[in-house]
Amino acid sequence: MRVSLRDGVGSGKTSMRSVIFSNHLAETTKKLGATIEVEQSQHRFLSDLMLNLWDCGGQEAFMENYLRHDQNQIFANVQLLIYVFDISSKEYDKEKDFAYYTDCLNAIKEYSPDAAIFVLIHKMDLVGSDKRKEVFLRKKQELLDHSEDVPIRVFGTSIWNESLYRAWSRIVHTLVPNAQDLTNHLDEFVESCSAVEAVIFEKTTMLLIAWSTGYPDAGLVQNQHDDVDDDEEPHSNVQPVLPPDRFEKISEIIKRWKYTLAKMNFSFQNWVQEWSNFTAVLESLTPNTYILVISTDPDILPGALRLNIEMAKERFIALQAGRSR
Amino acid sequence: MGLRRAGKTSAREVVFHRLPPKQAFFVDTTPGVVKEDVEFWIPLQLWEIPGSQGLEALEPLGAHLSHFSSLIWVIDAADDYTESLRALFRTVVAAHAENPGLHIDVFAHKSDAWDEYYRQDAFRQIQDRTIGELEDHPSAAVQELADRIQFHLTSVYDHSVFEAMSRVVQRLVPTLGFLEQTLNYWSQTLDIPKCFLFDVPSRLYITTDASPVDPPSHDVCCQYIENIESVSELFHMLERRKGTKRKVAYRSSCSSKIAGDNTVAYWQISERLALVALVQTHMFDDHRGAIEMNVKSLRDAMLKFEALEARKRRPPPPANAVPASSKSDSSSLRTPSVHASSAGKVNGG
Repeated sequence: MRVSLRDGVGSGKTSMRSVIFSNHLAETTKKLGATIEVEQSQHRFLSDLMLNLWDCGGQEAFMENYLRHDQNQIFANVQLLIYVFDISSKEYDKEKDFAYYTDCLNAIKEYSPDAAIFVLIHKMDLVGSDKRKEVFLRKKQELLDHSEDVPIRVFGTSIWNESLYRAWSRIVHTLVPNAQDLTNHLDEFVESCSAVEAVIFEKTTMLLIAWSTGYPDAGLVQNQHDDVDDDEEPHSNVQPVLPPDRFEKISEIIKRWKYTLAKMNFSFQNWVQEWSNFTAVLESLTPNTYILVISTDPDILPGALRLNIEMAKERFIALQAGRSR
Repeated sequence: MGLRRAGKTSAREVVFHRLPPKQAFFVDTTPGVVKEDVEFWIPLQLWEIPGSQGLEALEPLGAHLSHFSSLIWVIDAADDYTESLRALFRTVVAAHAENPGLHIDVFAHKSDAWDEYYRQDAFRQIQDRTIGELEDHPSAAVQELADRIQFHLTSVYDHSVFEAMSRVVQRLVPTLGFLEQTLNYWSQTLDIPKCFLFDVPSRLYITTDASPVDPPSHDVCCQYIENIESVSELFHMLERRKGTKRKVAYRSSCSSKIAGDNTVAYWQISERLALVALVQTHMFDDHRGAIEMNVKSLRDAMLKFEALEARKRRPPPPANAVPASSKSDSSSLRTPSVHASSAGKVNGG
């Protein structure tokens, strides 16, 4: 499994990678240096899914190099290309940026025609929140104009909020082979617990693997199955009952909590919360995933939910193992 | 109080207004005295006197030092603090003459500017110099102050400023002794390494058990409250399904297992208060019943106590409602009855 990250100088590929994969907090990414040439890193994801990240330095000389000489080495056998654009890049560089972008697209079309292509418009936090949507849509249109007939998916991201998790969760979701199977099982689990919703997170990255929600009008359901919609923001006018980005927020919260604990040589294990209006249980499901279950039934004690998770473990482990065959 | 740019406003903003510490850098100089009622378990009023003015700034505002119960002096520890110490000394002596009962706290602020080793050194130096100067004062009353003045090493970038502020407000809490003793009983019976009684909205803790507070466990507890609060915010729109049996008012309780044998647990006690404890996981799992039972008796005692306090406060407190020491005396007289009942139960568990 190969994933390529590329684009201009300082657009934030490496900081993005470290926030997602190395448990860095956004605040600490300023210390990262520029990526020289190609930095290859491997990340084990869900035990048997190897992510081979090729973080390609963005300096012009390297870009020329990739495109001229190492084309077959870099673009062959790629399953996923993630191209990062910096929203704050200068207007006069734009033509060159797009030229590189189309060159990359052409190369990928030639060497790995099946690769899924994602474009992240990064550093969205630098745009005022009132103009964010407009700027995003304009950039997206520009990108679509430059990508000819290649299908791409575009996300606006920022390491400062949950948009990065959202984009990456979608990206990774396409890599999980039996995602639909997982979701079906999770649906069943939610029903048998009479829970409101349940989510499966990958342990080290806290990216979403699968989710199931019985909550009506939760905003996320439509988005999830709507593949055409690459838009970061849900565009229904109805205010959803629960914030649509809540799972990404939870990823953030847990990551932060883990970070605090790591400083004191503690490690995160589980979570049980009983509030006046809901119960939340977060436990290990398989050796590399967590499950979060939300319930509102006052008669269901957290212990019962934990027992259910314990009993479901076997099945989910088998489900995950089935993948390697 | 403190010299200009010592960090008075940023400390206040971070603690009471949740200013992100990163932005404390951009806080403007405060031009005049700021008077503020802060949200806390007991009514509390905070006055911030800018560095350009001294105690005399209070007089035109109709306030007198005897209305205050605590004085916090903020030192910019990252800077040369000689001048600040001199000003502190002047202020302390003047304040003591006006109000001998005043508590005095010194925050060695911006301690994040030092590295670990030098931090303790410089902190000790600040203490020694202040205490030394107080002891050399001719008046015996001022010499006495040397024992009472408290020093705290603070920074907005970790939870130390919360810890220091907790210490300050704790002394204003009536019946602190009773609360501390209750927590002591509690933690001893159940072998709990550390517990805090937090005023959740302000993140200040009202009391803790007698074992010394080590910054990491305080840090974990603070972070934990933040953590679970943000989760509950995400789902605040949810509603409980109609239950069949239980109709009791829900009290939140949360726990998170950290490391092999550590669990951090949280119990809501009353509207504002919550008990946060670091518990050994095997104790927490095996003796959950006993723990819950004890939390319940503690909660009952606290609720009774709060109701008592509320009844006492019903005639609205006077305008400058910093709880005077006389008030705390009267309430401590009333508590033994509550204390006895709860202590009995704790032992029983």
